[in-house]
Order: sequence, then C-alpha cells, then structure tokens
Amino acid sequence: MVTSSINRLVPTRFLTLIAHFTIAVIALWAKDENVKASLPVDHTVNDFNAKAYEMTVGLSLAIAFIGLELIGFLSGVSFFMPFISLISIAAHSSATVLLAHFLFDVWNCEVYWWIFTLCSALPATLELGAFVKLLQHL
Amino acid sequence: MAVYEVFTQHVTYKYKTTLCSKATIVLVVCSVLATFVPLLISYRSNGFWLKTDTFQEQPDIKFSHDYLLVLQTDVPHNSIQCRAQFTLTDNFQRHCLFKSHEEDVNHDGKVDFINVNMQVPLLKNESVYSVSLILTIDFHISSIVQLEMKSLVPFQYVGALPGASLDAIADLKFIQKKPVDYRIAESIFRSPLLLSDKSLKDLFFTYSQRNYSTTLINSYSVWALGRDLEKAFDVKLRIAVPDILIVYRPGFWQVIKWAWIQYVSIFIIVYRFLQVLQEYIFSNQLVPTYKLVPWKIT
Repeated sequence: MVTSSINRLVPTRFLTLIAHFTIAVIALWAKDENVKASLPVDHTVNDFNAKAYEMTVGLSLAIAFIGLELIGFLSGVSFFMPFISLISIAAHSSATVLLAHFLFDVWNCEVYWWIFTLCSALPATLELGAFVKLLQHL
Repeated sequence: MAVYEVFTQHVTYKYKTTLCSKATIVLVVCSVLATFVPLLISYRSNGFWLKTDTFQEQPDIKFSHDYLLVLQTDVPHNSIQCRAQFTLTDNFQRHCLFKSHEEDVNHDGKVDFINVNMQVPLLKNESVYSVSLILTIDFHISSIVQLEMKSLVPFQYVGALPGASLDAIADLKFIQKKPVDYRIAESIFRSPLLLSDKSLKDLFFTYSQRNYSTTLINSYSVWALGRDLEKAFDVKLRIAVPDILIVYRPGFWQVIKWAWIQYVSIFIIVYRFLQVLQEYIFSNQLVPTYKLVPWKIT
C-alpha cells in the first residue's frame, strides 16, 4: 500500500515543483506591475529599482530553493518520506495558485514574502532537515 | 430473475493517533484551511459585509399648499413675490390666483401628479424675465425604511426675453447624501420651510445642506413671449412623482444572511476538497495512524 501511494506522490510532487518553477520564472519577467502596486503614486526611479531588486532577490531565492528541493528529491533523500512529500506538494501547489493570483490581481510586493516564507522556505527547510537526518544515519 | 442494487451502506474506518503526532498537524492544518479559506476568499472578493442596499418605492407625497413665487422684472431690487402665508408689512407681496390639484392616475392611494397653476397680475410697464417657484411637500417613505420630512420642490426658469406665460413639466427626484438607517423611523425637518423673514438665498443654502432633499429633474419648459397687457402672468407646472431609488443601511439579519450565504457556498467546496485530501492522506498512511476496521480480523 505504501509503495502505491509513493508511486502517486512522486509524479505529483515533481509536477507541483515544476509548476511553481514555471510561475516563478513568469513572475520574474512580469513583476513590474506588482512593483508599481507596492509603491506610492509619487515614487522615484530609485524607489522602483530598489523594490524591483527586492522582488528579483525574492523570486530568485524561490527558484534556488526549488532547485535545492529538486536535487534532494531526485537524488532520493526525501523520496521515501511521504510526510515531507505531502508538505512539499501542499506548499508548491498553493504557491502556484497564489502566485497566479499575485500576477492577475496585481498584489502588493509585501504579500510575496508571506508566499515565499510559507511555500518556498518551509519545504526547503524540511528538505534540508531530511538531508541532515540522512547524514546522521551514514 | 434480475438482481438490482436495493440499498447501500457505508463502512466507517476509524483512524486513531496521539495528540502530538503528524496526523494531528494534518488535522489542524485542514481545519484551519476549511475555516479561513472561505472567509478569505469571500472577504477579499469584496462585498462580504453588506454596507448599503437599495429599493424602489413611489413616495407618498402631499402638497402642503405652501408656496413662494418670485418673478424677476426689469426693475432692479423690485421682484414680485407671492406667498401662501404673508404679512401685511411685506412690501413685495402681490396677491395672485393659486390653483392646484393632485392626480392619482392608478388609484393606489399615492399622488402621481401635482398640477399647479398661478396667475399673477402685472402692471402694464412690468416685464417678467425669470420665474422661481418653490412648493413645499410632505414626503413619506414607509415600506422598508421609514422617512418622513417636509421638503421643497424648487423650480427656476430664466428667459432671455420678457414672457407672457410659463408652461413646465418635470419629475420629482429624491436626493440623499447618506443612506437611510434601517427601521429607525426618521421624522426630520418637520419645521415649516418657507418663512417670510428668510431670504431666498438663505433658504437655498440651508436646504442644500440637508442629507435628504427633493428636487426636480427632467424638466421641459415653454416660455411664451408677447404679453397681453390686460392679462395676468400665467405659470403652469406639472410635477410627476415616479418611483424613486432609495439607498439604505441594511439591518443586522440582512447583513448576516448575505455574509452567511457567501461563506457557506465557498465553505462547502473547500470542505469537500479537504475531505478528499484527508481521505487520501489517511487511507494511504502518509502520516502514521492506527486504522480500526469495524469487523473482526481473524
């Protein structure tokens, strides 16, 4: 029974990771509107650049964390840990939906850091924890 | 003989776990999501709490037979005034013939048209250039909100050339600057509006400050030229009283009912989705639990 559930979890986790990666790349391209939405009407070019830089850092970090998770996942570190897979699937699928809304509804940039903390940083931390646990067993 | 499915019964499995376990985390997260996701979606998509609502009603209008007519002539500072109530010391007062009648076309007990006809005698050398007619009405709305007030119907016309008569038709319109409170019977502005010691300017200034007032819209006028010196100046005004749109602040139960409809309709979908998710998680033992089956395992 466990193997059959893992058989279904693996493609799901892979797909949600790729979906999150895709939407993060799109957000990186089309972030200008969101940057404008989080600035006052009388903002300067410097304000815009600072905020755009902040968003670039945030989205790049998200992509880096997805890469980290993909490495851990595909190398088999968390491959047989269903609970971590579950959290990863939940986090990345909700991140995909939230980032799509983030772009469609032109949400404020501050909202992004909540999405980043809960949906990128949290599963990446768990992945690191799985890595550390594995190293202890070696 | 053909066999058909006559009845179905569900089997219930019980999943047991300790308080500090991964299964508890799943349960807490799912419960929090089921509670707050519908709230978040319905609140963020605006209109969760109903702030105002509207309804249509034909107001109950009674013409209180108080009026003020001001005719501006070519003589400066010498306008002709006609009032229903006047004092003998009033210099500009002129006596005129005033006729009015109210029509209830559809016999529903509410006035549909108010007709006013005034004939003002003029001196031979007087030429009328503008007409200001102000009528007072008793305004009453009673279906969803209660609002009772004395109100003005101001009508103004300025002609380029001296006229002989004015024929006009217009619709009554309710003006409100804030929503009417629900079920609080508002009986406001009950004092008489047309006082003889008040100037027209003061009257309009105080009237325009009111939160609820009436005015005329959609007005069409015919200004006839070439006055017969023997005849009086003739003013005819026909006011239609159509249905008006009233914005009101809804009551407690209406607000709660509307919020509840939005919350529950999203909650059902989210709850069903999370039920399926939890079924998948627990039946596949993605988090460790003890599964109790309702039959004896041999």
